[in-house]
Amino acid sequence: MNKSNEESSNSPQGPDGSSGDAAETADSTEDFRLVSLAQKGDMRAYDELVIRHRGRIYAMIRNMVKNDADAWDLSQDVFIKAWKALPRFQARARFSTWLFRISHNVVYDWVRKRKIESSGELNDETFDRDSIDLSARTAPALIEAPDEALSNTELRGKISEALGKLSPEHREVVMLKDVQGLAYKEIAEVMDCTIGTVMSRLFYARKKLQTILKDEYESR
Amino acid sequence: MNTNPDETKLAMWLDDELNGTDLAEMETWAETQPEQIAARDELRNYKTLMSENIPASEDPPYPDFFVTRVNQGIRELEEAEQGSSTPTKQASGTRFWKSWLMPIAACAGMILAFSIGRQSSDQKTISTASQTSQTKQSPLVYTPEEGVAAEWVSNSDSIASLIVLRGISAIPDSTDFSETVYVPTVREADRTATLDATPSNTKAQ
Repeated sequence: MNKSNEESSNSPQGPDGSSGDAAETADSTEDFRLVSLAQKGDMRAYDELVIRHRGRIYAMIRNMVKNDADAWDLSQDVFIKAWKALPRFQARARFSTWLFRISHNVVYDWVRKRKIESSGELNDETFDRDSIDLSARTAPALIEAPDEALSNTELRGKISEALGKLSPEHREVVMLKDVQGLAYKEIAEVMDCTIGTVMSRLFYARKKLQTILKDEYESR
Repeated sequence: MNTNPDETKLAMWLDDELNGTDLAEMETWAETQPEQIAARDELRNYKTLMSENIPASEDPPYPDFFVTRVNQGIRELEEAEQGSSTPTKQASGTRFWKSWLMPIAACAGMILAFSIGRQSSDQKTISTASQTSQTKQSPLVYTPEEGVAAEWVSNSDSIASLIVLRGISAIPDSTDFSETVYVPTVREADRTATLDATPSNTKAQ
């Protein structure tokens, strides 16, 4: 079971900013212990790290590329690249933040490669599920599992659709902040930009999302 | 807190990122800022909506196979790195050759090939010309029978050539040349070709 499945890591912090602090500290400590073992070549420790973090990485990438099969492959690439870079990992950041940074690079490399292969321009269509030919054999399944269908999800579909209308940078910053619950500083590290840029992107992304979803959250 | 906070601190307060002294200062300041309180509430409402509907974590399909594939990818990566380490050492040994000597050798080779090509072309032209000249002057005529001499006579004005054979016995008048000549039948002949089965203009001396 994934660490983030056990905790409600995407719930916002409480007003005192202390929600989940103890749990996060414990998780980080365990991550560092496993990282230390893995750096010495312990594959079981690394497997444990993969199991602990694969859910968040997969969810993040899936929401970026909007394609189940590609998200599956790219998530694996993240953990393979992380293993290769593990000797250089220093405990200056959380392991999960470091993984998000690798995910960012993997996803943008993939987008760049697709752009070259298609000789097209880098635009939102690369990430847009609507641009995929649904009749193609390789098209990802859009039909949700029955339990998901029961648990909603007209609203979820609307939010997902609204996210799809954002630029990749705006979508990523929303995912990292409002879904993954990273701090501004951590997002700046992941996206390799300044905190000011993160704030700016987040402001405009939220504004656009709130405009699209105005009816939804005003009715709450 | 008497003065307005900077944008960074305000944004962090709105996003519930502050704690400790910074949070206490902002809370004191916000008591006189109802619009900021409303903005924070609206933001919390939005974040709740997002967190309730977009999962932060979802297991990838076939999670056990996922881990296996990661392990396989790592093994392949390490094997590839080990495989490429030896050639890398060999490559470093020939780095000097590749960086300096190879371009120079390539240029020298191109120049040599070009000069040989030119010389060969000149020789071929001369050779062909002399052969033409020799052909015009005295072509080699082969005679299979001993005691027979052949002489070739050419007349460039009439574009005609004559071969005179000396020492050969006279051909009797009874010789039927049609028997020595193969004449294709109509069926064998190309229908588009003109068929002339009559042996004619056969001259012999």
